[in-house]
Amino acid sequence: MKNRWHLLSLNQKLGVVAFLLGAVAVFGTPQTGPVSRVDGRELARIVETGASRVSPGELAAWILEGRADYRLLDLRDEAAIAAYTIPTAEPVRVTELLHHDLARNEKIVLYGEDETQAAKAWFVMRSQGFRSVSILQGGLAGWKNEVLFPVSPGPDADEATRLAFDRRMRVSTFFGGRPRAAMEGGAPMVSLDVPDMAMPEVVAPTGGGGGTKAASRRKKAREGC
Amino acid sequence: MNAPFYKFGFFGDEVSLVIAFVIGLGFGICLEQAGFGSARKLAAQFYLTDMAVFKVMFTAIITAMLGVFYLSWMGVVDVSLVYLTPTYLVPQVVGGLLLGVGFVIGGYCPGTSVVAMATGKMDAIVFLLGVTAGIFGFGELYPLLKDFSVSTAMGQVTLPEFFHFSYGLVVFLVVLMALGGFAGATWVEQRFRKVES
Repeated sequence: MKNRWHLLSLNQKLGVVAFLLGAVAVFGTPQTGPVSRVDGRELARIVETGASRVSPGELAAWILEGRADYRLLDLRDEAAIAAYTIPTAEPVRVTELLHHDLARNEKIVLYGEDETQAAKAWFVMRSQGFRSVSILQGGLAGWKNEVLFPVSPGPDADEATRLAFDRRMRVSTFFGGRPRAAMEGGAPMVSLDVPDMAMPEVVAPTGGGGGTKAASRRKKAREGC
Repeated sequence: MNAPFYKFGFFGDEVSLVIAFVIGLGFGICLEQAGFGSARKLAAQFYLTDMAVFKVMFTAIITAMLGVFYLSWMGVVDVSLVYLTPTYLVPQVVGGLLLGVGFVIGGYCPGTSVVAMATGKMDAIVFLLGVTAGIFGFGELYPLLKDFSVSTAMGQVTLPEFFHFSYGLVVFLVVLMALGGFAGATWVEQRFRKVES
């Protein structure tokens, strides 16, 4: 056998190797879709430290700054999105997440009505190698409570707290919301109207938002020849 | 699994262009070293006296196919993320015939004409001028050709999907086809060289 192998030319030897590889391939199964790998300890650490959350205030600041280094994904159904969606958000269903045009090194923020849906989507994306994915703290409910309809501090609040609320009030007004009065014993503590929590029109921030700017920057040449 | 590297975000569009340039340089060097900068050698493929083009290209196909298959089997490459050119059956058959006619008349295909031009061959420069004129002509005629160019669309179809065979079986059959083709090409070369001489 050894002698016969030595008698073969290089091309013939390569032919034999190719034949053997082809024959073994009959029993093989290539990976033709996403395979999930999960590092349980790393995920547990991330969950405990809250490193995977973005606060509504932080997101509002990004939108106001016109940042283009993040993708905000709205996971809710069409009817909910039509009623209201956070500026710069892109509608994506959870089942379409892995087929959406997302790069694994992009900063992605997920949100639903609350954290539940986004947390599940977060797990799916982490298992597929998306390292910079986060969820919006509190989901849309958190956005409403913290950005659109912030609660004013009571009359005993200190100067720093009042200044912080003034900033939040301006942000709330920008996004079309209205601050809420702090309630004690059923009566408003300060003379602010209690809004009806009706969702405002989406305000497009000046200078372009993260979603549209990033999407246009990401518009790349068609693949293939 | 972390390949294709581009799809997994290891580098962006700018670096991908640099990598494409480097790969293109390497491809050109290999073509030139294989003698594919010579119009005589390339055109001889069509006269069946030198089947080097068939053998080299089919060898490249087999090498890439086995490499991608085994890397995917080992869990390194996600085959579903590898780009597939969509199939438009009739337009691509017609385009292939046109390219073949141009190939045998001019002695080059577009890639080898660039290789030959890099080595200073005047006929390659003329060929490339013809390619450029053809591109502009196609561009001007595209409104008339657009419907035809997207007709008989079959989507991104693969042989395993089309024949309902397993990937591994298709790999084995293509290897068999290649080995048979190499043997047949050698026989054809010897026969037609004898006839020529």
